[in-house]
Amino acid sequence: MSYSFTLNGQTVEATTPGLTPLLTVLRDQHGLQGAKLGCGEGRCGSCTVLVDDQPVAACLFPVANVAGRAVRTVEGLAAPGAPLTPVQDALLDHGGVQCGACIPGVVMTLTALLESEPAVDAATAKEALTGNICRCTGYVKIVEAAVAASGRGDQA
Amino acid sequence: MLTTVVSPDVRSPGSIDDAVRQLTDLGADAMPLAGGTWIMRAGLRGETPRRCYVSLDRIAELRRYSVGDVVELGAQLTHRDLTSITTGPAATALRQAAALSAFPQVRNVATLAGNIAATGFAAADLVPALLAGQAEVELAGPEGPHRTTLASYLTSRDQRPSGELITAVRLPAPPGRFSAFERLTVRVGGEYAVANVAVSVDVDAGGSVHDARIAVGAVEPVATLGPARALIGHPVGDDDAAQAAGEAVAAGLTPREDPDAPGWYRVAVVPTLVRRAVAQLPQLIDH
Amino acid sequence: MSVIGTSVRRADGDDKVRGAAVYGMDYTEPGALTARVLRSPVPAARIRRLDVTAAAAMPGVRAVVTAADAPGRSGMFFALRDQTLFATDEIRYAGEPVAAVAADTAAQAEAAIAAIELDLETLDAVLDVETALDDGTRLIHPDWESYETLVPGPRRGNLAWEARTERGDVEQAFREAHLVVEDEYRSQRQHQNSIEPHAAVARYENGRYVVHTPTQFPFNVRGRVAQLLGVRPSDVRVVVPTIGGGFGGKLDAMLEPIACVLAQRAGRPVRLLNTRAEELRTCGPRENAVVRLRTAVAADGTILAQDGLIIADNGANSSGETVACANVAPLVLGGSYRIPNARYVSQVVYTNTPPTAAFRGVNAPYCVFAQEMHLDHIARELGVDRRELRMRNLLRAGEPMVNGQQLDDAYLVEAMQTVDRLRPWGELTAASRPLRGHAVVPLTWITNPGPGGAGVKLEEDGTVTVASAAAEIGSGAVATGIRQIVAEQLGVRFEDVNVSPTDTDAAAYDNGAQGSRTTFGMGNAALEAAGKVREQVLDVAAGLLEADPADLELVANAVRVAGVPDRQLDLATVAGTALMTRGPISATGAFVAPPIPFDAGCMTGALFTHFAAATYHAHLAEVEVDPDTGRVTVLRYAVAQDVGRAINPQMIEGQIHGGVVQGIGYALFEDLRLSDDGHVVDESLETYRLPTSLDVPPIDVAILENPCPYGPLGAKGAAEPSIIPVAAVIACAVADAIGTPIRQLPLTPFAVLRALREGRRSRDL
Repeated sequence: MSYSFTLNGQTVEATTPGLTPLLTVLRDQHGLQGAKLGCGEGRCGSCTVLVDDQPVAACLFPVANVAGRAVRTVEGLAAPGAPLTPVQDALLDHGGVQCGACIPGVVMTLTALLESEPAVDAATAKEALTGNICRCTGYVKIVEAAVAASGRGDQA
Repeated sequence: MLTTVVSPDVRSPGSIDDAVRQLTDLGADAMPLAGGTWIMRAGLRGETPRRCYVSLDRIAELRRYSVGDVVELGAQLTHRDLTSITTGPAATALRQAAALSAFPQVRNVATLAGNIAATGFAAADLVPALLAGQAEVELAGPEGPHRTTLASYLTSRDQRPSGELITAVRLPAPPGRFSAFERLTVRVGGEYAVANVAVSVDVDAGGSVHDARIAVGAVEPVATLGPARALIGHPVGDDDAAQAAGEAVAAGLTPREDPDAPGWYRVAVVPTLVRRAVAQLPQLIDH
Repeated sequence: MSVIGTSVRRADGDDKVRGAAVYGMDYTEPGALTARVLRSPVPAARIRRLDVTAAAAMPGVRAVVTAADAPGRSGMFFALRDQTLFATDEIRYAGEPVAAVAADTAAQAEAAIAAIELDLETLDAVLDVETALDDGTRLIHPDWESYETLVPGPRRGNLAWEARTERGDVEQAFREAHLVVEDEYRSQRQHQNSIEPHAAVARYENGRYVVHTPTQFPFNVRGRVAQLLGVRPSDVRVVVPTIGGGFGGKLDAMLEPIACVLAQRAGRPVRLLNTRAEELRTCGPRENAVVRLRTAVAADGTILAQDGLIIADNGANSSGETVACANVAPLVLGGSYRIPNARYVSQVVYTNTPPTAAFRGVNAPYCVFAQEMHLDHIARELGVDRRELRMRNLLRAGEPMVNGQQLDDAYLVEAMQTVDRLRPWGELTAASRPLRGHAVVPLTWITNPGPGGAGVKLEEDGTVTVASAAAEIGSGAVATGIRQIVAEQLGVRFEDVNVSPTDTDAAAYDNGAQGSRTTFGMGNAALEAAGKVREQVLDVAAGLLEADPADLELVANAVRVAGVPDRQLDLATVAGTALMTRGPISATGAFVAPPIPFDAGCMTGALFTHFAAATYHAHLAEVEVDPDTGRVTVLRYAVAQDVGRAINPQMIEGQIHGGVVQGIGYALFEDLRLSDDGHVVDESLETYRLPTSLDVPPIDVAILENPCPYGPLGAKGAAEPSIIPVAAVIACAVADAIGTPIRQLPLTPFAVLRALREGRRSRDL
């Protein structure tokens, strides 16, 4: 089957069985390797991408269900060479990146959060990140970065 | 883990009638596909996938809802959708269940009907909230639309006829009805509940409970209603009555054993969850 | 302005936040085949027949390999060579590799795996250490006596290894004691669960194996691959893409030798990537252990003697670090307190279970858990305040630890005092109430002393490149620390220091990203090389500037005459001139930690004999227990940690946060369980619970600077130790909250509710 959707703003076609995980389509057909295959069971969040602006686990998302929708991945945020987004920049500024394998997923979760919430505090950020496992950082600096990126900066 | 070859066919009809027709034609080889968060893990559970899935994603009418004396909720509403629909206190438990379940990446995708229809999914969070609220499911099938109680649907969930589809859920919301939901996890959140409990009560003008229902999920293979008599005749929120009711409910449970949690523990925490749910109710009334 | 002590951004960060970094799990090569491994379905069996003929003939199959293709015998760090790459005659654990296939597609490889004929005669599996040690239990390695070892170690039958430390007159001290207390503690397996699974892409090129793998320790993988395949280390080249986490789990060869031998047989590149389930089933976790402690104390709580037995589960072979680290247990038990008479026996035992391996804080978290719960028991018996008992016995500067090593820079008292300023013990104790608990734990820990070499060169454009085989595991040691040290030494901007990709062909030996050693060991090697480059720069510049080298300084990518700002040359000019006059400016540096005096005679079977560049710590936790559910909430956490000198404070804080949260997971719910039939129960992240953002308490961090004379700019290791005291301090706090001792990890709600109920029952009696 062939499914048409927008990927980082461009219309694309995926010709593949409908139950193929969106993650496989992104990585194997479109060369977008930012989203990671961390667990393949929808639990680690390292494959998080946005479908119609909401975070989803791309490893559990059947490609049939992206037909007609808008998919955004980490590669679609800051163009190569262009400045980082506030979320990306804050993660580096606050030391929220270690091995970084979870980070593309974290970036997408926080991007969606900041787009929907005008002011993010630490509790909101922690709640939003429940589906993104980070084994390195203990989350503290990621949460600080989320708060800072939302422009509040008054809570950590 | 992902396999590189995913062979099942997926069809994406645009109407309920087309979906029923396709499911009927394909018979046992097919099943409906909603958000996919359960079906996409079939392989991890050691299940053989069906030959075909009928995606409900393009059927707009399955996302409708209406709010009144009965809250009508389309089958394809996601957990996230359910948290944002303004409903009265009869549906508080459902909203809470939807908000506390799993984590955002799943709540944004997993659907109301998927939560009900997923066979083998003992820890579904919406189900006890709906059971306690005396919900009914609207079904479409080869014999046309019909309606049944959620309780009776669940008892026959493994043997539903081919071609059948949940189209909506009806949750009664009469005046004076209040509900609350509690779940317990090993970590603070982001995982299946060890036990989840919903309490729904009907309160008279004097603040006394005149009817009540308690539902428990995750403890047994399928969520069930337990005896709630101990709440009746007591002021809403009464802790002793809640403890008695919780113990009565726990006494009737035969827990499953699985690696998530020992069975004895699932039962042991039920009275506490009942008490905590009941304790929420007076605040809802005050609002 | 100095770059040391500043929180510069990591050099690899931009690619990481853009999703552009290529990890081991992302890497592949043109024409790569897909590999699959046939693993044993049972924990113990004799192989009656293994026939791959049919599999090899299937469509798309390019190579099938078995034990016959990998004749070598090896073991982690070459300590005890009891491992073959594939099971030969006998199966020793469920999940042991039996054969592997490379094919054009994954489906073809899977079909071929299914077509391999394997006929097994199952044996009684020996699944726990105590049974394994019983007389008459079947030997898991009947040929154990023939295995080669790196150093002599006492061993016999199912006892794979034994390390002993004995000092003073233990028996005499017990006879004279005011009180003797005895306890036993148990702990579980903890899995590293890096987000990136193990992955390897190998090719065979010009008669050598080239393998890309996200390993922490490229030279170890090189040596282990060589030994397992029966070739020379230099026949193997290891290249490291971006690493998606390791925590000890990526120190050893895992998939690399399999990919290598398949690539050689197939004549094509081969890619092998673990599923999460394979990670959990077969990649060595922290070992489960039993710790028995018996301690003699005086009436005032002074420790007179301690007798300890540590029984750690090696699993089926020594492909993990458990044997190599056996003597860490005595060192950590006897490294924080004054124990004048001590006898520790650390046993590592074979079982028919997946081999255990290194996890951050090797062998230590459960030893510290046991020691600290045991000290609380002593405090209770004597009626002494728990912190006071610890302060009384804490090692002071200049006192010896259990191996006779004098800790000249011991800083434990300062660490304890620092956490006391953050969360005053007196106030916490005064405010104590039921179901609330608190505890404080000190710790002395090691910096891995291993060797490393670096090259530093000045480029024609005045930038600096470091050639190093150190792996950037995520800690920032390579992405910030080494660059900062070199930038400081040469007066160049942090951004103008590059580090070569990690490749065993391109740089000198490095002892790996383990035991907090990269900033310390590689930092020292790079510092030495940069110092030589500095001398060359000054020499060339002195001629150009007609000045004495002693009057020159390196500042802001230039050489200038001190005090005369207009007499300066930029480094590009110096480099360019040097090319024509003396040849390129470059130098190498090398490091291994200097020998430290200790009492070698008190230890046998020890591969780790002492604590180099020791660091000193104190952790404090405040917890609350839900009496109805047994759930533990960590309310607040405080850490004081000696890092020698903080090169990059933000990276250090990140290491401390991360270690504490991994420790919280170990303390409260992480548990890689084995079923009664020897299979890993927790083969998904559903039941193997990793801490989420919601499980993290507020963490107060105090970084202490207590410089190490042989550390780079005074730095010691900083990354590893924060995990070690966490389970101990949380367990002690929970025991304080519920008034019942804890004897087993993890403190799941199930375990705590049971303890609460048993405590209630025993009080009712």
